[in-house]
Amino acid sequence: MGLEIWSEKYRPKKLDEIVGHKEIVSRLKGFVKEKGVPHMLFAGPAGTGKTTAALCIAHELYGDGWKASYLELNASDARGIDVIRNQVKDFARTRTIGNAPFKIILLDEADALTPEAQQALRRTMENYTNTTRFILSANYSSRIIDPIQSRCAVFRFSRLKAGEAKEMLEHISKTEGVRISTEGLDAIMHITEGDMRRSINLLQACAVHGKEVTDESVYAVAAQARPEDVKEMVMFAVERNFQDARKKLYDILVNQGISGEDVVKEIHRTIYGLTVEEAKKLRMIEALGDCEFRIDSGGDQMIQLEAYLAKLGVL
Amino acid sequence: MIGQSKAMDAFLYWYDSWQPGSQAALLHGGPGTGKTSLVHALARERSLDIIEINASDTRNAEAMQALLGGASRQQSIFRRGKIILVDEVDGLSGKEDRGGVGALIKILGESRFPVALTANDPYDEKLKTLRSHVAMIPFGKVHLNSMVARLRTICKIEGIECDDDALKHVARTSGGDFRAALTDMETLSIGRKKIEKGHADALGYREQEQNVFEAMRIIFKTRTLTTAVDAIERIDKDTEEMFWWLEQNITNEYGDPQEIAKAFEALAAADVMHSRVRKYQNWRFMKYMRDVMCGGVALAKRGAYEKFTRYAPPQRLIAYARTRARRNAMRSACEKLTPQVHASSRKIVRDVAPLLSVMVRNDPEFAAQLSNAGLTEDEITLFS
Repeated sequence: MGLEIWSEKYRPKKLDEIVGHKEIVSRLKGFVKEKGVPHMLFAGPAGTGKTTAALCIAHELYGDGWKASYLELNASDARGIDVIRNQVKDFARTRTIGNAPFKIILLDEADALTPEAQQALRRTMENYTNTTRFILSANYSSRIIDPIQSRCAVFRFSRLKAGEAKEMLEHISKTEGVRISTEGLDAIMHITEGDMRRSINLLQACAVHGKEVTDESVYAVAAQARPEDVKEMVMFAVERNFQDARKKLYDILVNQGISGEDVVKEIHRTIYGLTVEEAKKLRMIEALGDCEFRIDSGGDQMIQLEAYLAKLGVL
Repeated sequence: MIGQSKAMDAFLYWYDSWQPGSQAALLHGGPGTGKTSLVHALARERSLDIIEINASDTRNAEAMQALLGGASRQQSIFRRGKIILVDEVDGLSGKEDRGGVGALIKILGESRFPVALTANDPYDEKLKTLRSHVAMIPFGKVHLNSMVARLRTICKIEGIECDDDALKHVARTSGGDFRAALTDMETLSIGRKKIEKGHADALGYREQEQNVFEAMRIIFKTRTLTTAVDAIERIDKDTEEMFWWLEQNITNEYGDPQEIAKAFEALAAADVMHSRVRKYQNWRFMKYMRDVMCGGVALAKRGAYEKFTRYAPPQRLIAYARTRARRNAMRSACEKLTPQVHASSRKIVRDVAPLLSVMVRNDPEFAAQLSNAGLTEDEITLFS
C-alpha cells in the first residue's frame, strides 16, 4: 500500500463523477462512446480537473488494463524534448491491447516547453498519430504554439464554483469521519482559491492535525504565509522602511519556505484592507500584477518581490 | 594636475583663443589620466559655469539637441563664462547613435561657448567624422613619480601614514591610471591608519576579490552605461554572480527610495532577461541581462554619493547555496511521488510537500507510507 493521499483516493474514475464542467464532460463522453478521441488541449488553472479528465478517459476506454495504454509525461520534469520524444517512441511502438485502436499520452504542463521544443513535439504527434492520441495540459493555452493548437480540440477548464468545491470537500469529510465547520470550509476555499488538489490535501492535513477542522486550524496548518507577516511586510514597504520589508521577505521566503506565488496571493488579499488611499491601492495591485506575471514566466521570486516592495515606497 | 603639462598647455591655449566658430577640443587618453579633471579644474579656476553631459547617457540626436542645443546658445545666468563638457563620446556606439554624432557635430558648429569632449579612444571608427571638427589634445599615462608624489600628499591630507614602497607598488600596478591608484589606496586604508609594504602586496594576491569590490565601486559611482558595463566585463566572475553582488549592495550605497526602487526595478528587468536565457538556452540574451543590471543600477542615482561605501559579498547567494542541496534532495524525493500524485515534481514540492510535512509530523503512519512509496529514510526526514 503506497501513499494514501485523499486527493488521489477521491479522484473521480468515471467522467460522470467529475464535479462541474458539464459541457466538457458531455463532449468527452461522446468521444469515448465513439472510441474516437482527437488530440486535445486541456487549458485552465491548477486543480480544476484536467489530469482527472484524461485519467477518466483512459479508465473508460481501457478498463482495468488502462495502465498499459496510458502514459503520463511531465514537460517540466522531462529533461528536454529529446527525452520526451524517446519516451513517446518507446510507448507508441508496442501494439495496443484489447479493442481500443490507439493509446493515450498525457503531456502535463506542456506550456513549460519552449516554442522550439513544441515544434519538435508537433512532428512527434504527427509521426505517431495512427497509434496514439495526445492530451496536452497547460495553464495558459496562449503558450502553446498555433500549429499544435490547430491540431487539437481545445477545452477550457474554469475554476470550480465555490458551491461545487465545498460539496466535494463535505462529501470527503463525511466519508472520512472528519467534522468541519462552515468557517473551516470557507477558510480552505480562501486559501486555495478553488484548486481542488490543494483544497483536498489541506483538508487532509487539517484532519491529521486534529479531529475537528475549523478556520483556525486551517490557517494554522496552511503552509502559506500567515496574513500578519505579509501585511507587516507590505506596511514597512509603504512606509518606505525598505530594509525591514526586505528582511521580512527574506524570512518568509527562505526561513519559512513559502513560495513567491503564495506571497503574491497574500499581498493581493492584504491590499484591500490597508489604510491607504484607494487610488494607491489600485496602483499597488497593478504593480503586483506585473510582479506575479514575471515570477510566473520564470523570474526569480526574491528579486521580483524585492523590486515590488521597493516600488511600493515610491508609488 | 599631476603631470600632463603638455596637455594642460594645449588645453589652456585652446580655451584662451576660443571664439564662436572655433573648433571644440577632444581630450583623449586612457582612463584615469585626468581628462575630465582638467576641464573641472579650469572651470573652478576661472569661475566658469560647467554644463556637463555624458554621451553614453544621451543616445540619440533629439536628446542631444535637447540637452546641449539650449545650453550652447543661452547666456549664463550671472553672465559668467561657460564651458560645455561632453564626457565619453566614444560611449556613443552602434548604428542608432549615428544621429547622435551628427547632432553633436552640428551643435559644435553652432555653439556660442567652448565645448570640450573626452574619449578614451578617438581613433574609433564611429568618431571618424567627428575628428575633423575638433582640436585633438592627447593625455599620456600618468608618470610613476608624479603619481607617487601626489598619493603621498593625499595620504598626508587624509591623515594616513604610508610606506613609500607601498605607494610605489600601488602606482606601478595602476598602469598609469591615477583613478585606479586612488581606489587602491582607498581600499588599503580601510580600517588602518598606517599602510605598510606588506599591505600593498596583498592587493596582488587578492586580485580577484579586489576587482569585485572595484567593480562595485565603479558601478555605484558612475553615471555612464559603458563604464558600468565595462566594470563587469573586466572581472572574472559571471554575470549571475555579479547580479547578486549588486542586489546585496544597493541599499548600502543608495539612500533615496526613488533610487532604490529604480535600481531594484533594473534588477527585476535583468532577471526577466535571465529567465529568457534559461528558458530558451540562448546565451546571446545574456548581454541584455548584463547591460540592464549594470546600467540600470548605475543610472538609478541622481548623482554619485561622495562617500566611502563598504561593499559586502552577497549573503543570499551564500544562503541559496547552503539550502540548494536540501532543495535538490526534496525535488528528487518528490519526483518519486509523481506517478501516484499525477503531477510534476515541481508542483508536488510546491503544493503537496508542505502538507505532507504536516501529516508526517502528526501521524507516524505517513512516514511509513512515504517509505512504501519508495522514499529513502534520508528523504523522509526532509518532511519531518
